[in-house]
Amino acid sequence: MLGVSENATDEEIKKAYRDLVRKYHPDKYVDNPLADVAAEKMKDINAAYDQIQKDRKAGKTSYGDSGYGGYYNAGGYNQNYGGSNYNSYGTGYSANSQFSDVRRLIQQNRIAEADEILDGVPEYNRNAEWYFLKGSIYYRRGWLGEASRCFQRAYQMEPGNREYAAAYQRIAYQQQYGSSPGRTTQTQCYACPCDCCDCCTAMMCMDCLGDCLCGNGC
Amino acid sequence: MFGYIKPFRPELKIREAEDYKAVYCGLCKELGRSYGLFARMTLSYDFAFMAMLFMSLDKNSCPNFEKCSCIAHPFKKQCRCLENKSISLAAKAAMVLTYYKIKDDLSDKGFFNKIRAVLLLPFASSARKKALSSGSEAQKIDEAAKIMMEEQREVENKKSSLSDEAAEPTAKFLSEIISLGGNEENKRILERFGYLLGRYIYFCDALDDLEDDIKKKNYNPFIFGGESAKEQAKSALFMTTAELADDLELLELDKYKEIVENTICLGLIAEVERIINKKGGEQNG
Repeated sequence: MLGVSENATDEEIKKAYRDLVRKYHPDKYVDNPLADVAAEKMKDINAAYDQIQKDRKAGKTSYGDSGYGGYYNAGGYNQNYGGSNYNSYGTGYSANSQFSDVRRLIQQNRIAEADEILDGVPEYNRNAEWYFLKGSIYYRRGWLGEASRCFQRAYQMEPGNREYAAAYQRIAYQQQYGSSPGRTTQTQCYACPCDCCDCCTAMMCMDCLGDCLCGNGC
Repeated sequence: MFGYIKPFRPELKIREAEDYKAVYCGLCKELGRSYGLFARMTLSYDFAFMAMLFMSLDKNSCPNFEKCSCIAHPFKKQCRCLENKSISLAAKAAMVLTYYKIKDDLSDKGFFNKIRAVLLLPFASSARKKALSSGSEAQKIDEAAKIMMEEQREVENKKSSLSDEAAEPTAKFLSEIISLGGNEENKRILERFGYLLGRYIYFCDALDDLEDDIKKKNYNPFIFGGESAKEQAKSALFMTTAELADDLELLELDKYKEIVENTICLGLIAEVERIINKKGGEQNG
């Protein structure tokens, strides 16, 4: 499951585990209709990691204490994405949400019904949360353009809300880089314009230098 | 389809590049064998990728290879992948779609396109019939293609300013085809993956045609963006590639995993950059 061999060192296992956690992290699949698939994978990975740790502890006590399971819950991810909000998505939020029924329907993937309720809300009652939820529905349907517009609107109406901000920032990142935040593959390096800029700057400097030298020489 | 889905070659290992080429050749040969020379000319990267993805999803199959020469490279022996379920499914999809594209050209494009369409239609029509007689998969694809063409016409007549809406017919069509390559377990993932892939193809094509469409006053979903039309297209495409990459991670791929990942995570972005830079270059020059 973790893709490591039996005699991998603790460090290797830890690294493999961490990479997989990052790959299937729930923050990446918030609002995604496939969030349940990712969650299922996450569960398998945690179970596999637990098992390995148990086996190793039983075999060699000296390996011991690497704090398994700790990464997913207490790791740096939550802080990075404001992820703690998401964990309570649909449960904690429904308490102070105007649209708890809509949230519940979205959670259950009953998109058409959720959309119907939202469309029934008159224009003057459409608050930031309305736009956020409308965006979530668009996002699930694959209408990413409209989703981005709605998330932006929600964020502008209530900039302090971490849930809306995270949704908007994520999609804004995608628009700029062509990959999602937190990806570790080469995509990021390739899509990131930094290298290109650096390259251009370097060329410009070279140009200046060349001009100077030429100027002096002539 | 138009050949926008291809791997980013500089990041492919040599053996991966060989594998890719072998599948590409295999698809070409299968098109020729089953549907005639005309069909080989419709060969495109998109369907080669589709064949590759299907093979990657099919854990139980083991592709076979042979060395052969072909008309395009008469003096060089190429390695090619022998026909299998995945390749033949991609070929069927290619034939059905070609038929509908040609039929579409017949109804509303310029004079030369019309002539070409009239000449090609008999070949395309017989190829489609042959594909249809091969089983229920092709019939499903055919049904989906028919719906796509109708919906596409509606959207264009309506001149929808929502790019999401304009992309929907193509997206739904691809969703239908791609999910044929899976099983009950990964069906949902593939449906979304296909949907996003269709969006990507549609938007790439729209971006590619943008300047032409402005000149000829044709419909284009990005035309309403005015000055920032290209930026809008780029954002729409980049959101789609990002989502595709996230979705891909949920799929369990077998062989060719690296090639499929390379194509989705790097190839798609590189292609967008290429289209944008090509147009920019023309403008500046």
